[in-house]
Amino acid sequence: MPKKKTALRVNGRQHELALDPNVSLLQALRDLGYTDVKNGCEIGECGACAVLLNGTAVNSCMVLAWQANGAEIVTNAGLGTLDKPHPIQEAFADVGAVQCGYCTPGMIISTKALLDRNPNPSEAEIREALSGNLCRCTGYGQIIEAVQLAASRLQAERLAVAAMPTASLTRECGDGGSHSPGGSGAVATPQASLTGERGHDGSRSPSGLSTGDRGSERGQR
Amino acid sequence: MSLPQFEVQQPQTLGEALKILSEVKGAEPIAGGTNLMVDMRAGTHQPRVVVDVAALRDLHGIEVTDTEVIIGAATTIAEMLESPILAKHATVLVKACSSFANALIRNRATVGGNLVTAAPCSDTAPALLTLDAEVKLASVRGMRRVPLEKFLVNAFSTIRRSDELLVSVRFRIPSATATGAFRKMGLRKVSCMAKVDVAVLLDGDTTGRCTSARIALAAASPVAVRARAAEAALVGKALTPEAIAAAAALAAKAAAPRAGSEYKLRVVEALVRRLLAEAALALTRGGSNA
Ligand SMILES: Cc1cc2nc3c(=O)[nH]c(=O)nc-3n(C[C@H](O)[C@H](O)[C@H](O)COP(=O)(O)OP(=O)(O)OC[C@H]3O[C@@H](n4cnc5c(N)ncnc54)[C@H](O)[C@@H]3O)c2cc1C
Ligand code: FES
Ligand code: FES
Repeated sequence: MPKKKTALRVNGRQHELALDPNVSLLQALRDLGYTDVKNGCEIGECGACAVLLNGTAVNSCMVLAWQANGAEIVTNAGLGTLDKPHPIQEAFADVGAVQCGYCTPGMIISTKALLDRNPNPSEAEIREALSGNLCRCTGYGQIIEAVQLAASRLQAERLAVAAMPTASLTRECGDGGSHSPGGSGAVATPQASLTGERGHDGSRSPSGLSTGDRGSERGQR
Repeated sequence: MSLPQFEVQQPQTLGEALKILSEVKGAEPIAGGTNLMVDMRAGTHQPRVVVDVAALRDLHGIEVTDTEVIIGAATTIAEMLESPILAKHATVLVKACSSFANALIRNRATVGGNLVTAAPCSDTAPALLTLDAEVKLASVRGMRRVPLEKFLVNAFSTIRRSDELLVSVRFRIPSATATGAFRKMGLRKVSCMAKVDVAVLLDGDTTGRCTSARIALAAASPVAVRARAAEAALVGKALTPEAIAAAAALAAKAAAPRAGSEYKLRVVEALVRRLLAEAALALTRGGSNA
């Protein structure tokens, strides 16, 4: 079969590939070394293979790689690094929402997609957003808690940014998904919506939470 | 699990896609891939050429005219869930979409793929049946519009010819008072196939008399069906508990579950009774929309 030229931008790094037409996005990503994307079932049931495809959370096992030609893909590893974890990743660790860890990358991707659209979700909304991600270990309780913690921390971060009009947005808004572990030179782009949301966010952020709290909890971990 | 070998075509226009489907032997469309990827891995579908229709502009978008709502075949379930047009005119369909699979699948799965697959447990089919929806099919030979009820023939079987694409699905805007309800019974709260789906769309006048009733079932027969006798029994009657119970009993007669699944008859009757009661109550409060 003739190969199919496929350009994928993964976690900010550009890949130009020539793939067999029957290679799934899941397989292509794992072959490229993005093994944080897990192969759990390949029938769309488990969500361990979830990635952000142009900002939307999808099962990469349900997508043929060439269908994603030209797309921007973000995997869990693209959200943060060990040194500089994303607030969602940190919350999962802090709460103990990770046991075997197999479901975690997919859970975090679905959480990211949720919080990008709905910064202050109810428990029902969280459960709905994670409905495509199976966990065989935790019983989901801590995962829900982690999402709630991540949401409040992210809101607190936004509040802190709003209070400092001159501060650089880069760190606080880095959850745009463009941290690049490979050092590909991707720039963290502040989400366009953020500026417009400041006052709004500020008015409903939980009080008593600041980025400082995060630092201290992290120290206890 | 590797996929079988196939070639691919990525047409840029509807015309190009139709030409490929008419000329290339063994060509099969792919939209969201949530059925086809599973079927190809299982070996039950072996297209020689996979034709990507997900990006075709003619297959996208949800539009409303003075009289109709038109949904492109490649519209995802997630897009339908978020559509203000559907929220206003077709809550029965939005409710069906909210019980569809799970958040990840909904971002890929399309309404066209769902209808063409014609699985007994399709969640969009019963909701669209209560809306009296019509599908538009296109081929190099031209276009045809077919009522969804005729389009769905049997389990996994439709009247679509292999060179045809499903372009859109449309329905007349229901009356402003018409009230829709949908319930899916499955083995879990989320991410499961329906054991029984019931959709109803009820309309009435200010005296509590039923002016229009549509009831559809899925997963209770080989393919989604309307419960016409039950509908006929309601129209013109006051929506009393007795009339609702009688219609529910008739609705169960429209079901034809597989041997061993006779329990579904009782589930259909109970769900139809509950949904009709819910819709009737909403009607007395002025009705919502479909
Ligand atoms: C984990 C999981 C859970 C699921 N849960 C549900 C559920 O709760 N309810 C439900 O109803 N379904 C469910 N499904 C089934 C599936 O997601 C739906 O049927 C979906 O709508 C199929 O759409 P698709 O775009 O992914 O189709 P595809 O897989 O792309 O295509 C399916 C078939 O339709 C054909 N096709 C697609 N688009 C067109 C078109 N425009 N014209 C002509 N032919 C076309 C293809 O050639 C193929 O034969 C589930 C699937 C999975 C994997
Ligand atoms: S591996 Fe894709 S959903 Fe399980
Ligand atoms: S932590 Fe093991 S599957 Fe979720």
